[in-house]
Amino acid sequence: MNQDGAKRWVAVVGNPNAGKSTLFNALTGLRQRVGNYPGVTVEKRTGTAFTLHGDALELIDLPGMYSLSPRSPDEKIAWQVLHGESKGVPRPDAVLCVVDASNLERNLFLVTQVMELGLPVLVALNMVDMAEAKGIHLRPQELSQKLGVPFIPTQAHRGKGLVELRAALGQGLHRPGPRQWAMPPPLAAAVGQIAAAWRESLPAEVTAEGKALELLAGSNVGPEGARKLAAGWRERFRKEAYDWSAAVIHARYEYVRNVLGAAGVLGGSRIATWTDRIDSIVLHPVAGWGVLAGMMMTLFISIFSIASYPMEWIDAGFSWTGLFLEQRMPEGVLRELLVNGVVAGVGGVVIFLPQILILFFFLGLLEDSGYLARAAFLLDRVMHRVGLSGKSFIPLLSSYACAIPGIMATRTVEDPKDRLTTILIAPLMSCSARIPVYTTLIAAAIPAALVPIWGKAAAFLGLYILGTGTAFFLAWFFRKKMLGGGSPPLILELPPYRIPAVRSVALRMWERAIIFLKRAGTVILALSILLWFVSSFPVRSEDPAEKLAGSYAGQLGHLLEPIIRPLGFDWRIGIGLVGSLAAREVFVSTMSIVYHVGGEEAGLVADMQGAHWPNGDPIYTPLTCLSLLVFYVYALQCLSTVAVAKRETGGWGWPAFMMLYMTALAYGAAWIVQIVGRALGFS
Amino acid sequence: MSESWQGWVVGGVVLGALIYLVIRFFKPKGGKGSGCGKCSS
Repeated sequence: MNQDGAKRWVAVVGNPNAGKSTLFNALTGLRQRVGNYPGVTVEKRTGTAFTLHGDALELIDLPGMYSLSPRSPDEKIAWQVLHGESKGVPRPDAVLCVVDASNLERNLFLVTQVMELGLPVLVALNMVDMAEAKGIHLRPQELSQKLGVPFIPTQAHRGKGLVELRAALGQGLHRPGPRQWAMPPPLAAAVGQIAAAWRESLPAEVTAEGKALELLAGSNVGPEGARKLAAGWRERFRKEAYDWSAAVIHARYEYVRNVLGAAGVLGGSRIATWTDRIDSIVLHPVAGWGVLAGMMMTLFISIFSIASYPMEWIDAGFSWTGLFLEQRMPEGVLRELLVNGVVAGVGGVVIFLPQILILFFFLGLLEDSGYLARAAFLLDRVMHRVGLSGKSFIPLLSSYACAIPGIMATRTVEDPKDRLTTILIAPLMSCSARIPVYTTLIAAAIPAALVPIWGKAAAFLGLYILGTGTAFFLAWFFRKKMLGGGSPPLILELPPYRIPAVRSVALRMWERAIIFLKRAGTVILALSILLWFVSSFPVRSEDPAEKLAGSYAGQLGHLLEPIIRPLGFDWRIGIGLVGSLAAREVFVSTMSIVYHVGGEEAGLVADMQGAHWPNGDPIYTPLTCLSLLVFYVYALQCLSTVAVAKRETGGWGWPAFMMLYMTALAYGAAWIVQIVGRALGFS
Repeated sequence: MSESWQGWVVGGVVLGALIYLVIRFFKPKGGKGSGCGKCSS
């Protein structure tokens, strides 16, 4: 608490991947998302922490930033909070700077800027274990003396140093002293004049020089006299070709180097570390791709092999429940709803829980170990060629889990055109909701006895590559042909490798399981109930197949059939396509309900394999399954993605465009598959 | 009688599911919990 009894707010700032969110979680007990790569946090989050004396502090976890000159939307969020311009959050009472101890020079650059905000500053010297492993001799006491702000060594992921940090946060923190870095002479004159014009109207704690530098950088917040002076100096520097911002950066770095030297902090040894040795293989222009492909194949083989056992148990559980209800409940419409709607619909999706958990287990391992940043490095050459920067990699990678966090993660992308392009292509990355659809259709297309597991895994990989390849091609088209402009070079930080924390990976899997089951018990359940209703009414026949054909859903399916017939799809698939407009995985629920209501109960894959056209030809031929798979690779069957795209682009125009182009692409590609397949003699 | 009673229950459940979905997808978006539920956004 403050002296006046108000709650104290402390902003947590630092470079990307310095461990801010890990420290935030450790101090607040929250489970804010963390990862071993830069750009995980794109929004501010708040949580309550306590000092050693039990006083409550409100911590604000901010997106990572390299400097206080915001370039991307997420950096702007951090800037606004620090300047007290963020809605709902007061100007912080203090700043907790989290620095990566193994990369002090760059991290302290930001600290020197934060010190000029006029707020009390505390520095958490994080990842000291990594720094020491690199041979860096850290001297926190000396650093505190030289820089004039307290340094507390921490290892946030192991919970070390938290007691000291809580104690320091509980003590009265002091505002840093005046600037110590030497401002270059031409700039010193400009800053002196601008600061003098503003100083009187500024609160005592705000440093006028810091504000003067902001005005010089183009900020338009400040008294008119100071703004005019800043504009005049900017113009003068431009005419004299004096790069004042580079001079400031140079002077700050010079100061930081001097501080590190004077504090006796010695740099790491040049001996090759484990990280260097592993990088020589995984970043190799040829071997690196082999490693990436090998990892993906291992992931997909695990999805098919390891997951098959728990999937059989879940399937048996739902089959038993359906049978139990059929035997114990009196015949009637409620029993039909429970057996054909709820159990078939929800069970049809829940069965895929093990596969989704395996996906997140692997992603968790790769992310925590630091490998994903290497994958970004490998892909950067391709991404640069299509006009995207490496910053788009993390949003696109997140989209393999779900396009929603992926689209939100585009806030780290500085260039607005880059950001828009990334949003437009993000839903083409195969998300986890596609897993049930892919698995079911691959199983229907390829009889288990004929193809080994690795063949199915290869088919899975092929679908992922198809989505990703098309996304890159379209990125090139959108970026270079439609939106125009060049792409910035990639500046990517490669974090050191770490052994993934079992708890962190297990926690993430647990969270995903809860989210998945919650969704199955709410949205999927509600959709299943409605789909059962429209597939069962009006009742025009007692024969199950005729009953389905005469239902609302059956009528709609028949209405759609002429449109989807060229793709090889029948009216029942039409029901599935409409049913899954809200969410892709509902396709599996819908087909499960459709075949249950239609009187088929051999299991979804067997029901699909047994489905026939009126002339007796099978519907789910390998060619039709391929058409349907390609359709689902491209189609934007997710209302939530449309909603988040609207929020992030600020209007309905781009989401509408996204919906249109993806639907057209899905239809066109599935149609081409049919044409080419038939020309090659497939049916 | 049993059939009629079941009909009312089923009607209520279907209506409830419809209202739930309408509220779920058309409520104002923004902030925590505004996503599809698959992510923790």
